[in-house]
Amino acid sequence: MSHLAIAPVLLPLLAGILLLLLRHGDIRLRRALSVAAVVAEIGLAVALLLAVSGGEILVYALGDWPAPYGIVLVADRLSAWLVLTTALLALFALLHALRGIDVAGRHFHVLFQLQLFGLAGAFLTGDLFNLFVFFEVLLLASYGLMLHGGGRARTRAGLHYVVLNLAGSTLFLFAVGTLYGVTGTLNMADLARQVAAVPADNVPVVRAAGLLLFGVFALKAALLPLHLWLPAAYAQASAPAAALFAIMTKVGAYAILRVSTLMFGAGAGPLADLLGGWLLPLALATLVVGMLGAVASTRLRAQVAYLVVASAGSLLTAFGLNTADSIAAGLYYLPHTTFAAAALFLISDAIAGRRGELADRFEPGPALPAHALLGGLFFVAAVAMAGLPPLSGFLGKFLLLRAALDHPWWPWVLGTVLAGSLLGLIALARSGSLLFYRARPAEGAPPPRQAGLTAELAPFAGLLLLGVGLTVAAGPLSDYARATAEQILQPYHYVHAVLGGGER
Amino acid sequence: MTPRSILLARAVPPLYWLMLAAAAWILLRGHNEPGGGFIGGLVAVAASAAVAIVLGEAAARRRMPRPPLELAVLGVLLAGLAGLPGALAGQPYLTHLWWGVDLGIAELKLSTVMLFDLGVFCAVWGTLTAYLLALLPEAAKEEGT
Repeated sequence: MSHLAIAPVLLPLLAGILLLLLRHGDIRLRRALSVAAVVAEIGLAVALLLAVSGGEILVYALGDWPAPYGIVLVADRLSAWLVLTTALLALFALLHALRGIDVAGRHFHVLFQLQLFGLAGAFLTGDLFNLFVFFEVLLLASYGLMLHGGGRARTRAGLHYVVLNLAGSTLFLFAVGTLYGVTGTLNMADLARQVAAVPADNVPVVRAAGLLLFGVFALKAALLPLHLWLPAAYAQASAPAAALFAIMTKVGAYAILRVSTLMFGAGAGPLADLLGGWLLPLALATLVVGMLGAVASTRLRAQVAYLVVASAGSLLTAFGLNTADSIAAGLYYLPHTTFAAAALFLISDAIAGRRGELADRFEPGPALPAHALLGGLFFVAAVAMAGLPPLSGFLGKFLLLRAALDHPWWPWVLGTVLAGSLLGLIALARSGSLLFYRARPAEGAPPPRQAGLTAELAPFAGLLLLGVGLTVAAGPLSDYARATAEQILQPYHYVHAVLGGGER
Repeated sequence: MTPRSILLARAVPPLYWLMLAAAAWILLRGHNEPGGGFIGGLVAVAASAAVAIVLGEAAARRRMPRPPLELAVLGVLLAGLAGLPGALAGQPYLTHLWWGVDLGIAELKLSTVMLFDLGVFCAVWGTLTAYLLALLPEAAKEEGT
């Protein structure tokens, strides 16, 4: 019995409980435990990825209750890819937090581990209600992390975030309840079978439930017009929390991809291609709105948050094109954009901390200490985020554009993605030149040498190196993404692995 | 909480134990009949709430076996660990094991489900009481103004 499919879910849960028991203990012990748990999570994620890379689908029936009656965890290439992305991102976000942010409020490490628990669970579960539960776990943890450190603006942004997500969760429950009422199952593989065989009378009901479900996922993924919560929330959260939240929109994108390919894919009979005409135009509009927001931002953190919205747009454009090539491009682009956004959140924290009262507002201020190093790293991160060569963002966008050429809407896709990239470039070039070039000479004595700048930037550099790794290993990784896309476009294998049996 | 009712103040301590006994009964019968850790835990919370409202939150806190938050954590830990014996025996996590103990007059059924349910019981009792005890003083303050 291999426990590989559940290990990445259990590990952060146990680490979180232990950290809660040790909450009055030595902070060094808690930090060491938290980092050790995340490092072990990376190890487990790599092992899981290797185990499924050959195309196997690991099914883990909790409590030995067989599907569709019990709850199963299902690890395929897509799940493993996202779990690994999450674990890598978490390590660097956590390392940044160790520089003091973790003690600015209570229970940072506990919440961080529980957030990982929710994320890993959401990626690995094969049950729709269980997906709801893991969404709740990761949201509850994110409410705590969002408000970590307190402050007026953060609390206000956090309140919006909490209220919107509570509304989203309620709708999620309505959709799940409706689907259960019609089909009598919540196992995703079983739903895939039942949805395809829904009697004609019930087709409109299932359609409504499916669209409601996508509405909820679109809220999490920050798809237009449900993206409005994101910029304020991400711009106000503490830097490590915002960096970790870079994966949160991807949970929504993952859920859209999983449910649309598995339950409402080509084999779903009258409900096939439920999202057909919706996803692509909305995703393109999201891309444009995100980039316009980035150009109009008056603060660096808000700008990065809008770039996260735009990257959600790019990602969902890739998923909306709905071909093996485009989904593969999106999956290759996903870790890149996550790491690049997190890196920008971390460096904007480093920049804001050195500008005194001005923080990260776009106003000319005194020259930054170590501006060459900070500016250089900001430049690299901006290049990564904007998708310029030679970094992996360029490859991702290139693959996306190439995949779009076969689609009837290709002029729209090409035009929007390229114009969006240009807007992003303008926004980042403007903010970089304002922060680093239009600086007044420092008044009076030069500021004291900032000790520990290299240590502070290490997590940031680590994230950039991950981006470089994505570029260097682009061959095998894009092959993996391609194999993943082909696997999820043939949901028969998933259904067969979970439920067994030959007929579909 | 003024004016105090002497009847309530006298009745609540024995009532507390009675309600806990009911909670334990609900917890145990949950094996094969309606009940279980979650509902039993809620009844235990009601017991703590009765004490907290009538005798004050300090009195309720004193009567808990452990501080509320700690009780909740231990409960989650217990529930989590209850899934491990099955996994160690080569079956999926949360596969529960059962042992029958023959007592002569009846058979006593022991299982890891029992531990799991006890964990849920403690988690519910601890979490909700922690909320309650944190919010009661706020409510009292608002009443006072």
